[in-house]
Amino acid sequence: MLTCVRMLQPTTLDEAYELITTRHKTAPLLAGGCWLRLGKRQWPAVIDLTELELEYIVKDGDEYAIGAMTTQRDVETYEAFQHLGGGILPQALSSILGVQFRNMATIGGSVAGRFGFSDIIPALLALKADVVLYKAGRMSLEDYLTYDKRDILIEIRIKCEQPAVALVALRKSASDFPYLVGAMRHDAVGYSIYIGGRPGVAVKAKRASSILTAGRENAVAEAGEAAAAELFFESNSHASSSYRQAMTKVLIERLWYTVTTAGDNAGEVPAWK
Amino acid sequence: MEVTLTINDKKINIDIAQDEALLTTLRNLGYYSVRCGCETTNCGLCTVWLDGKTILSCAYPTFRAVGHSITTLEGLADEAAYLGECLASEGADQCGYCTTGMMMSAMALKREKENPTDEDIKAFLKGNLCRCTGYESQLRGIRKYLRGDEV
Repeated sequence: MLTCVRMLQPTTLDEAYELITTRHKTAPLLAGGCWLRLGKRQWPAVIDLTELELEYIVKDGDEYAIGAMTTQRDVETYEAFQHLGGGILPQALSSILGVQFRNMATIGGSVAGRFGFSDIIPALLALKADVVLYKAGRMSLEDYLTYDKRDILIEIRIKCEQPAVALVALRKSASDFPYLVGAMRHDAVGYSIYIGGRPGVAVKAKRASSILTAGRENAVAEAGEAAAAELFFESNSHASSSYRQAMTKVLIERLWYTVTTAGDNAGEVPAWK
Repeated sequence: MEVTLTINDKKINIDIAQDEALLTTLRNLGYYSVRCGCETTNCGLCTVWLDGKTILSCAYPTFRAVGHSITTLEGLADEAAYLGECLASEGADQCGYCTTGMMMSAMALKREKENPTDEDIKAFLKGNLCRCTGYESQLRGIRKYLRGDEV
């Protein structure tokens, strides 16, 4: 249960930032509240973000801006996202528990939580999403995942035009957390591979990405081997570290196949690398 | 803290704890169709509508519901009775504990999507768990309800 002594409801970002940096430095921020309540701790204070008017999706120039308090379900059903990057956002979100849950859970809560089991973080990484923070301003999501200063996530920004991207999650049963989740992007620069659920939060497999971009013979298998070697894996109730490591090779093959057969190449069987 | 909630179109003044879950508030007020199951947002037993959208009342802080419209099964009595008949006619009730939450989801689906396919029904009701029926009989019952069949 979510238990607290005081529930604080700031009405402006100024007020919220002042609360988290001065009087309530350790108070958690309440977005959808779906994960926070799973802990057993009684919090002296919880800061509720519902009054900050961060629930929106707007097209702003060549980008979409998604307010941090927008529900997962609103993002999942937003018309323009059905085709953006092959529908990678609805794909990532629709596997998260049920509709009722996604009507409450927010996109900002998923991102700011930096959950390793997140389906949405690898998807957003593949879309090269940026985040906008109240104090630190705009930065790439990749940088934000290692950013350790206390701040308020205001919105997530995604380019309207996207290259081929793919998301593959491996889970023991439908609607369970994935024990491994990966995303791949193929643009003019080359391939980018992101792997989460190790069980740590998604990170870029840099050497594997370079190998795939170079495109030598057996590049896919080599990239799989490289990712399994360069990333850190641990065991938990969902899978052992060695199983995750072994399945990373399979994941990268599936990601490459999905990216290669996306968009204009749909239906074509690629020459296996 | 004292708040005013709108439940099934009625305004109710009530004193709540700051961290009280909507599930607790509703049951304290006698809305017993809202059931307590897992309390970890997995089972769907506590499903209610907030402004017409399904939510899990076990994870929704009551104070956030101020200014919104809450609907429970008690507020949909006639339609719920018909859906209940559809489910019963297909043997979709066994212990019946999950039924009220599942009905809230099925009735929300009817409003959200026109002519849903079986895949739409399954996707929309993924958050409602049943440990008795295996879901096939419920799927048949919900199909009947969505088509408006006579029962």
